Amino acid sequence: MKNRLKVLRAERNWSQAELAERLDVSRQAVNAIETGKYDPSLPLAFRAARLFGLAIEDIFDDGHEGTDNG
Amino acid sequence: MMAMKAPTMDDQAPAMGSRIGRVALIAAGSLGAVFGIGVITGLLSAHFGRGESVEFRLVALVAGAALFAIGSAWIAYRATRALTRAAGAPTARERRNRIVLIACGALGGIIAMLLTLAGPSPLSALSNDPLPPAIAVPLALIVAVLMPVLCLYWHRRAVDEQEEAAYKLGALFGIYTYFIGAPTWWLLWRGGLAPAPDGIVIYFTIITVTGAIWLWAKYR
Repeated sequence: MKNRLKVLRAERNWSQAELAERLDVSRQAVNAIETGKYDPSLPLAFRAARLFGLAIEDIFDDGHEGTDNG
Repeated sequence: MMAMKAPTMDDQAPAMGSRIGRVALIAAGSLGAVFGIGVITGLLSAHFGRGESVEFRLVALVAGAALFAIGSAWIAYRATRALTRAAGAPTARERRNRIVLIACGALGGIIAMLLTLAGPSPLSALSNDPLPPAIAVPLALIVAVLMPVLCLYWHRRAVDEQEEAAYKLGALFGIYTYFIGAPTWWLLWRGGLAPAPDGIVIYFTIITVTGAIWLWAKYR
C-alpha cells in the first residue's frame, strides 16, 4: 500500500525516531511502513491520521479510486 | 525554505542485506559467546571432578574456548553498535524490547551454564543425559514461570505491531515445521529408516525456523 508518511514527516521536520515515538511504535515499524514493506493496522492508521490532522485516505492509498458500494 | 533535519533512519540505515547480516552476526556472536563459556565451564567441571592436576592441554583448551567466547562477544557487540548507531536513538518501546531480549539472553546463558555444569561433558548441555533434581527443578521453574512473565511483558509493553506481525509469521512457519517435520520423522523411524524422534532436536529446529523468519520479516 502506498502512503505519504515520509512526505508528511519531512514537512514537519521529524525524524523517523520522533514519528515512531509519537505513534508509540519502533523506528523499524515507521521505516517498514514508509517503504511499503508493512501495512499498518487500522488503529495505527487512525493514530497517524489524528497525528497529522488528516483523513486516513489522505495518508494511505490502496490503489482503488472512488467508492465501491456494489 | 524549511531546513530539513539531517539524520533520519532511512537516510543512515544500512542497506537491507547488511541490516539482516548484522542481525545474523549479533545472533551468531551471542550464541558463540554462550557456547564458549559453556565449553570452559564443562572442561573445568569435568577436569576438577576427576581430581586431576592442571595440564598444558587443559590450559590450551580453556584459553582457546575463552578466545572464541571473547571474539564472538566482540563480534556481537560491534554488530549491535553498528546497527543501533545507524538507526539513531531508540524509542521507549524499543528500549523495553532490548531490555527483555537481554534478560532472555542472560537467562539462556544461565540455563546453558547450569546444564553444562550438571552434565558429564562440555557438550552434554544439548544431550538427553539425566539431570540431578537440584538442577532440573530450578531450570524447569525458570522456563515454566519466569519465561512466561517475560513473554507477557514483551508482548504487552515492548513489541509493536510490525514486530508482532513478523513474530506471527515466524510462528506460522514454526508450527508448520512441526506439523510436517515431526510426523515425517516419526513415520521414517517406524519404517526403520531414521533414529527415534528426539524432542529437543525438534524443539531447536522449530526455534531456529521461527527465529530466522521472524528476524527476516522484521528487518527485510
